[in-house]
Amino acid sequence: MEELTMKAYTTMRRNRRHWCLGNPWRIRTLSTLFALLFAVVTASSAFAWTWNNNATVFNGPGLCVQSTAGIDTWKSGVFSGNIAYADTYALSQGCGAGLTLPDGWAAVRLDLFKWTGSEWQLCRGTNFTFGATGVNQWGPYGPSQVFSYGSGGSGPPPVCGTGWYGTVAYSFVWDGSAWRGGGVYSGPELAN
Amino acid sequence: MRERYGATIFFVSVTIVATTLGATGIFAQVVNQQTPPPRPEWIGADGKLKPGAGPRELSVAGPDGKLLQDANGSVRKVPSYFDAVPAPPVRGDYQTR
Repeated sequence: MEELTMKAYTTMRRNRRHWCLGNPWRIRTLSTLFALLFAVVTASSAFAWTWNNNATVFNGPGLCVQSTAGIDTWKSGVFSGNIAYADTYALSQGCGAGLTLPDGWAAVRLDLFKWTGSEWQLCRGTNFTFGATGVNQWGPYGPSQVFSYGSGGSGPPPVCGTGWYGTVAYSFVWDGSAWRGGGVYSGPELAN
Repeated sequence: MRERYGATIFFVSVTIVATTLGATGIFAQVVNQQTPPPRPEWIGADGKLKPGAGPRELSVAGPDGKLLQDANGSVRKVPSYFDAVPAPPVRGDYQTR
């Protein structure tokens, strides 16, 4: 009896294995379907966020200034939101180690732009936020700005309507005699 | 044998193309029928702001995505501040630390 059960079990496993792996057409079809499914799934989640991370806007004697401009969009079923953000970092010359500078020696502001189909228009802008720079357990830090431009989905729509958005961050660091830095563009992001 | 080999190449090719389209987001553009806009003209190919290249004034988008207008119907514009730098830090800012 036990032998019969083992035989049946072995046959069942063999059949299952044959269905999955023994038929090359099934393998090809399944792998192709999987690839198409992957393409469709990633299609809905693509462009959830775009950022220009740690772009060097100044590299000179004794100082390197890096800037981050980012824009996130709300996506259904995903922990996400319509958020624009900007960061400023101060590093040593050559963009090596992070520099520790006093409060007020680094600044950041950000503009949020909306694409109309023919030109980029200003949607929201901020004044400069000042702060200190330094290094912690996660690496260099500096002043940052972040704000929501609308919930999206069932909440309030993006503040300037649905469409393509982009962030420009302006990052500056005081080197003791002048402000050094510049602006960077996040790249476009489709917000609904 | 040759037919089986050809069919395998076909399926592998379809799999690679579909996976690549999905991973790169190209399929997303097709599905959403949306093409990303060009970068602003005052942004260089390196993604950085081109000094002095931006307009002095910018039009402003309203909540509906349309241009904000003044009461007299003209397009509202605000200074761009593209080339603005912060005021120098006051001495007290760094003496307190």
